[in-house]
Amino acid sequence: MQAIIDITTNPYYIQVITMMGVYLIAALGLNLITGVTGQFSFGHAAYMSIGAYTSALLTKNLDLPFLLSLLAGGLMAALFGVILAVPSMRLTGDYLGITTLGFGEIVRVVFINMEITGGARGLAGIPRSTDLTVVFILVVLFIWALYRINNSRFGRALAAIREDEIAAESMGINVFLYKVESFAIGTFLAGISGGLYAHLLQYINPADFGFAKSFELLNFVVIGGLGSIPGTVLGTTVLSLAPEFLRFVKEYRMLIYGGLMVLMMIFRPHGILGGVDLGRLLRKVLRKKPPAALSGGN
Amino acid sequence: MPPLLKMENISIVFGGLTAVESISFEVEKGRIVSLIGPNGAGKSTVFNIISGIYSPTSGSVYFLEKDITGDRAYKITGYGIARTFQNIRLFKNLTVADNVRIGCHSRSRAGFMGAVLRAGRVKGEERGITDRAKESLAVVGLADKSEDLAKNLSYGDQRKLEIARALASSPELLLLDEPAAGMNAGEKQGLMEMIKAISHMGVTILLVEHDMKFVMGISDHIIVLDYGQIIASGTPEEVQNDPVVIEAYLGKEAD
Repeated sequence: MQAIIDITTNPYYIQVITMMGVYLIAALGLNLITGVTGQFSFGHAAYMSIGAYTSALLTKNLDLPFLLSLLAGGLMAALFGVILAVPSMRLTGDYLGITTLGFGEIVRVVFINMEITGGARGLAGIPRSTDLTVVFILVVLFIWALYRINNSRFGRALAAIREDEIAAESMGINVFLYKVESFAIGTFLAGISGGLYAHLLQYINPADFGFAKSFELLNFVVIGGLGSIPGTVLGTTVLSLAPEFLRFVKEYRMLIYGGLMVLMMIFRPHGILGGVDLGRLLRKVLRKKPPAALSGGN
Repeated sequence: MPPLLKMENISIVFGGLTAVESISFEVEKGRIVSLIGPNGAGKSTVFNIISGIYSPTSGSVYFLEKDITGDRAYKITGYGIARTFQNIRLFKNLTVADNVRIGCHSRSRAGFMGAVLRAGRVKGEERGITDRAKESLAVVGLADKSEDLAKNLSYGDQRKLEIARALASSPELLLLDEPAAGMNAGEKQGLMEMIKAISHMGVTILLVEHDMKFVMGISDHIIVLDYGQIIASGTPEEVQNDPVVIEAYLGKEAD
């Protein structure tokens, strides 16, 4: 009980949990691109940085309301997501991975060399507008929307592309267009996450959004279970809290973190909740026929 | 009445190799037409050209008198041509029901915003998709397996699911690429009846198959390919007795 009170009142814990929510939004976007649609993206942090700089500059220099700047950051990230996706969506697998990795580095270098972003010194003096309430509401909203997407004609088309592109195209799915749409939504979420990040830490630097951050986000999604929303939530929670709770082992903490990752890949290569459909599992447990199921027949 | 499908002087060249050379044939509405020939004759290539996976080097494809040559595969499905694959291409990690629901894609419209907002029209469309999927599964006898994952079905059931998924797009023309491959005699008999039932529903069928008993038992018309060219066509009886066909399959008699 005392522990719960500690967590809900201690500003340090609140900060850690808020940051977890910020990362979760980016991870949910990446899960849509990589987990649901099956397209590699190794530059997701770059879209976070585009959202972060866009929204930070808008609130700092133009006094735009916080939520409006978040939206602008998300849209800007999505715009760049589409700009990258249109030429590179003809690539698959490793090739797409390398392209996105390269794009991520380009974005970082551009921000280092830009005047308005403060270059390598970073951008300071961003108003602190992000709090746990805003993050929580956005997380719930996005999870709700993503669940709806997954259980729709649109989401089924994305899953079909992941499973077999040629078959998907032969079912009448415009594979190229759907991949671009998936990228746009996923990078929009990264942009929103970046905006929240900037207004939480009040200082951003291009180095915050390097490829190490992109891989961290990918870890959240892969460890939880590619394509699974509960998996992404779990993966992000465990991996973003683990380094904090491992602080007592001091310099060994990243060693233990790395060890945990290796064990995971050995024992649950598809992630903690990979290949687990909680809805189906629940229906099986309850031994009830699903309402929308096509069971029975004649 | 004009033919449903018309192939006109179709050729396709893959890096110097002519896989299909100057092929012309027609498929009339309501018939069951078979494409046969030895391995490598170009049968699957013809399927890939009709369904838009390959674009022919020269020649034209007409569907309902409309020139569809070189159109992308997803558009061709929208026109009313559906297909199955020789090497089963199901959405393995999705349920049987979702596989067939995806088959309804070209007959429905809701996009990303529709998914999130889920207005009344979208809900109605989803119900329509579910009903259509249910009907297609009933045709192939998989209605009771709708919640299984596609990868967990038996081989024969996976082939049937491919047919159900293609049917869900309400096609005018159904292309079946070796539907009987790997099936035992009993399953083949069942499949033959299923294809006849689908034909009675008004769907025109073009199929590639190696099993001669199957082909002779089901086809109204047969086209024989060898080395990328049509060497014979006609009713099963005509084709069976054609010396050119016998030579292509069995070789020439020694003098």
